[in-house]
Amino acid sequence: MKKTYLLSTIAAASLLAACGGGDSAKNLGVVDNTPARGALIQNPPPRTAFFTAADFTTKLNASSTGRGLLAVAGVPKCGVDVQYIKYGTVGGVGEPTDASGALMTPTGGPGCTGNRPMLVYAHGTTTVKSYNMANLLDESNAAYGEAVLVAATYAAQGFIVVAPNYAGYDSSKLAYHPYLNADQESKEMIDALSAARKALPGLLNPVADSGKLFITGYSQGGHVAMATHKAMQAAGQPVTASAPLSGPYAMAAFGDAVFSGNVNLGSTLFFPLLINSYQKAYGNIYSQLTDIYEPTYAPGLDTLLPTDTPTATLYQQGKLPQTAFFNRIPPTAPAGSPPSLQPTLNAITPPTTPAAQAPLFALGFGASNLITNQARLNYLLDAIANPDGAVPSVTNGLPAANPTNAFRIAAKKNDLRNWTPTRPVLLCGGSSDPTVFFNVNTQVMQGFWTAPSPAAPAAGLLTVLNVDSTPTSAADPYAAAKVGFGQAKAGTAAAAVAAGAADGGAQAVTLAYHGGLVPPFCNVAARGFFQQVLSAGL
Amino acid sequence: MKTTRPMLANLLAIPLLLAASAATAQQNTVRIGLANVQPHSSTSNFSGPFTPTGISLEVRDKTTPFFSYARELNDQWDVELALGFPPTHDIALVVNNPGIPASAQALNGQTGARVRQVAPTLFVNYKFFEKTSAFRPFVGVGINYTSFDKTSSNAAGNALNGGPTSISLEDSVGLALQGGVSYRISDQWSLTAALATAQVKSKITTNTLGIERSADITFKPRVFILSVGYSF
Repeated sequence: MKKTYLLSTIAAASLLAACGGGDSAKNLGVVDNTPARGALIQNPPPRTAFFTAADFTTKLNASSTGRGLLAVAGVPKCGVDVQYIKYGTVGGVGEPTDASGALMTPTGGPGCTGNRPMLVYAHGTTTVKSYNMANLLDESNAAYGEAVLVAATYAAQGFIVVAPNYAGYDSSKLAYHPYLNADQESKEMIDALSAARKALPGLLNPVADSGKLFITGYSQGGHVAMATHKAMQAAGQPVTASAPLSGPYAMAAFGDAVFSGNVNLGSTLFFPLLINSYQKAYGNIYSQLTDIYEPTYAPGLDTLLPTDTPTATLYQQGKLPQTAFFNRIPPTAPAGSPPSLQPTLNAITPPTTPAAQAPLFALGFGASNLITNQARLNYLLDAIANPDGAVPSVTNGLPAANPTNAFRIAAKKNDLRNWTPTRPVLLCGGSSDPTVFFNVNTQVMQGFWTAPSPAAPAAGLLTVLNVDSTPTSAADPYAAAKVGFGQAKAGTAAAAVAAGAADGGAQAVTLAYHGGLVPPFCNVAARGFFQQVLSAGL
Repeated sequence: MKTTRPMLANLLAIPLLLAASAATAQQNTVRIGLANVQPHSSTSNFSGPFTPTGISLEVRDKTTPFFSYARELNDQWDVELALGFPPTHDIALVVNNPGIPASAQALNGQTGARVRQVAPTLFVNYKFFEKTSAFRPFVGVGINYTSFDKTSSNAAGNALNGGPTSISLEDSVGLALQGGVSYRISDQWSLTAALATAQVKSKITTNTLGIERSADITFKPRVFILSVGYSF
């Protein structure tokens, strides 16, 4: 008996040791699984990458794009910690949801730590569902290039950057993306900012909000940035300055331009995102997908984007046409229309003027097209009856007073010709942008905000920068951006010519223009603008 | 971990049964000593979200008190339950990727975590020579159960992982082998030197503020044991 007792004791000791427990959630912070708007779901958030200023410089120097960025954005002054944040927000009809993003914080001492200005960066359109601005160690992530640009331009120069991935992307529970929905996107940016502020004290390298807030974003993000500035101003939440970049601000005018045949590069991707977003928000864009889309493409198009299937594969599988947005056969004027209508429709299918853009517009027309002629015609009939004040010709510069087409009504709801900033705004873009047209967006906003327009802000608040122009004088504060852009453009053309292009590199420039050439220069211009606002104590 | 807990209980029940059912005249030996545990771990690269390639770990050696209980079945055979004071090993960070920032690479080789292992092993040993011989070499084959508990991540581990990190490892059951020699001092006292090994395969999972990463980890441990035995 005694022997058995001893053995039992040993066994019991061993069991006790094994029951000590190791894996526990005790140090995993606070998790909020039913987040309200602006809640930080995981607090503190995990850090996903960290660089000293020297590390980041080395990283940039390791690639040709990095060296180019280094030349434009400057040598990193601060280290950068990248945190992955998740926050509670809303979808396109106010439904509770969540989304994720990057919180990039400067590190490394004076000028980088302590109280720092905060900056919201809203990214450009992507079809890639796993787009994640916090993935700075994974060059295969579609967001990598934009994330590095933002880190180098802003965080490495001392800004705390909040860069949301948007609802419907990455780990967000939302099954669609409320694309270019001004109400949703402004709420989401405000929520991301609230969540990010909650994260700051608990980071591995904590920083503090100085109380200065800058808002910027590129392309879709330009629209997001402007809508957010407008919403925060309306809510009495302080905004120091904003810089919407290359964005589709005048959605109604832009839509009219596209349906009039000025088809932009990327329209076969943008419009399914847009139509889906507005259908979710307003419910009246179509009753059947085939009301809008050709039967070849209609099935499943309401759930296709965003996706992790590469766009090249989508084209290959016949899920979307690459460029053929409209039918190259003109819509037929309805019986009883004025005799001038059919020639008008013929003349914009495709438009042949202006000559410089005619080849671009022609790309948007084909036999295997996305949008039905009936949908286009319905749109155009309303655009003709209730024209926009900026398209096809500038009258009052305002959206149509009473559009009747559901899509035009939706576009007007998200058109930002409806507010006046009381803080400094920089609008930056390139005048030959083939994707988000400069004239019907940036220049239309400029007209809307310039006296004698009643919407003009106080003198000095609005700055408009076209990087695709020559410096106005030796004192032009944006001379470097303009000269740099010119050099980058020439470099792209020269590289294409060297690779055998027979068009002088024009096509290569067109393809690189919106997504590659303009972004670094407009972002660096935005940073300079913000720094000038800070130093002037405005 | 929970699912394999009954298995541990079963393993421990075997010697109890043997003890209960065996004939009365047989001898019990308790050994106490030191075990130097060299884990010889090899770990795959960690995979998971936000995980660059080339991140792994290495479990460091540890010397720990050893004790075992053996019961003779006859002059040649015995059954031995080997235990040790559960050793806590340092886990060194392995950062093998020239593409990641230098300040992350600088963490390579630093201790980033600690893990305690509990590894009872049940051997059936064959002892050569006569029971009265001064030296009796022996070989044993058995079954090892390894459980990992009391894991912790330190500042270096947290820096590499991106924040406070919890660590868990799956339990492992595998074949164990040992060989050694006993020196008989008297009827009661003996000295034993042994070298033991076992197949230990586990999966390590880390959770850093919600980010889960995992790697496969294989141990080919070498355990050098020096012990003093008392028979009764």
